[in-house]
Amino acid sequence: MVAGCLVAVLVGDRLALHLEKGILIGVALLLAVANLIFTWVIRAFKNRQTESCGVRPLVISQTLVDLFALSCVSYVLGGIELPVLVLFLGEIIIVTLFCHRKVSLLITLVAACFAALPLLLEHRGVIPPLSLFGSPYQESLIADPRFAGAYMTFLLLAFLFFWYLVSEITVSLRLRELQLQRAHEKLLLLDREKTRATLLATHELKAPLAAISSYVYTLRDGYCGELPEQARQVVERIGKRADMLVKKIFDIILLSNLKTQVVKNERFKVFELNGFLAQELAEARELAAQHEIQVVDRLATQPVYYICGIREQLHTLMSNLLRNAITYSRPGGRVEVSLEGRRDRVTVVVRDHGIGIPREKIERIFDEHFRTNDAARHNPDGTGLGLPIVREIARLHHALVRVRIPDDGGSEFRVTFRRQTQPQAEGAPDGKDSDH
Amino acid sequence: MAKILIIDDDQDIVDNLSLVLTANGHQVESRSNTDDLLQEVTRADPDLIILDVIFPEDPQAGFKAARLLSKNPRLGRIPILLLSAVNQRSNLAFSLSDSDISDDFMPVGAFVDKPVRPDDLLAKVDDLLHPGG
Repeated sequence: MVAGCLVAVLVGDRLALHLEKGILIGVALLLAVANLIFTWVIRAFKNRQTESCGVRPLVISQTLVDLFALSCVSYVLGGIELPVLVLFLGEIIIVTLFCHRKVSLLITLVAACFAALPLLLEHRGVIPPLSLFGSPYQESLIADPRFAGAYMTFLLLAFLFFWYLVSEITVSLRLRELQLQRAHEKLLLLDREKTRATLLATHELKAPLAAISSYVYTLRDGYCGELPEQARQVVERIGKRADMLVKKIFDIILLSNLKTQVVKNERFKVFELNGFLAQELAEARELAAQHEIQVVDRLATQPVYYICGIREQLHTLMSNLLRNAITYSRPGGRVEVSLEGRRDRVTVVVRDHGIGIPREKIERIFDEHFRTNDAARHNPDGTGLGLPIVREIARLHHALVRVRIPDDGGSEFRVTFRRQTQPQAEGAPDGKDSDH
Repeated sequence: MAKILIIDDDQDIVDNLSLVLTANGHQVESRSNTDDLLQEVTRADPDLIILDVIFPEDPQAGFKAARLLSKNPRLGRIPILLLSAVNQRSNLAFSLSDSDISDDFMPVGAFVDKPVRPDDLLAKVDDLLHPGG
């Protein structure tokens, strides 16, 4: 409004407008000083007051100053000649949004008074009528008591109607916000309860099996005396099946937890993908050595990429992919890991030359408990939950998981993440799509 | 050989650990809960404590017990080996690794996963009883 007043002063003569420059300059100065004072007060009390008790008195004070200024401007601009009074509506919106309903109604009535004041004073002859365009009809209209009365009544009713509309919308929005906030709090509470229940369920299911396995190891290692060879083999089998059952239980609970998880932004961190993958590969190479598989990577020569995610979950995702690639490779085979950066995305590529996936079954490999006949034959210990877990973690990270069947055999899994350029940035990743 | 106090509510785990430890010459005593912890530890006066995490009344009783012991000037010097059946990297309420060990957060000497492998257990017990040796 300050700028508007000054511009009007500067161009008024060129446009042959009848402007009272003194009033406009006075209004501009008043607003400038008031804005400076309000800015200073806000800064001074910023850290001392809560939002509700600090902002509202300021909004009310500033609104009153603005209403007075608008009243002056509407007088200078001829009042009834231009729709200047619309500017008052903006003030009503601000007050209705920030203040209590009764306060906003009071301010609306005050606004109506300020809007009607120039006309009333002109009608009573206290101040001379002004016309922006020098209209000869302006003075006679203002002098007519019926016109003046009708105009002021219209102003009052229009302002009240506008206030009613805005306040109804505001109340509805506040109600919706409150409902959303309560629903969010309830979700977080449920998630905490679910996590606790999952933890206890895991413990309850795993603890007896852990005791069985511990006994098996103790028997196997001869702490209860030497076992005949055949008995030792049976004990080994019991131990192996108990370990598989523990893994299966854990995978089922992990998958169920991932599917119903409420993602909390604070759990997402930006980290360097190359370093993270190097750690994963170090672990994978231990398993690969047992299977006589070579794990090859080109991370050292590739650009450094950053992604945003939950490291523990991405560890599970990567270790599942690498474990699959190694497990389903043939002895002496190779697993290749690389990164591909393109625009704002980076893709982790895990390629093996193992038993591969029949093309007609590729759509089902992310289904829970699904295993191809070849996979079950090659590795009877699989749970059929590794890839569904990969899919869920990718979904939570808005990452895209794709599978390619190379012509020369094996399989290639590609996980595409949104790249982060600022390592300091944190929060849930943006994204829209994920195939799996 | 050393005197070891096992605190675990699972009697099978206690018996199994006892079997392995006594076979290696250690003297074992056990408790099934963390009630009266300071008095019980003072009375047993162990060289090492093997402590479970989850107890029936409190899923974090093991953590709390470890923190309580660490704050005691005398008992805080006794090394603790923490047992856990859910000690895996996961998105559950907690997951532990050696990097989590700290005087403030997790004042224990080492972790051992259930099911307990005898070699792993004995190696960690030996490390805690003879640090640096």
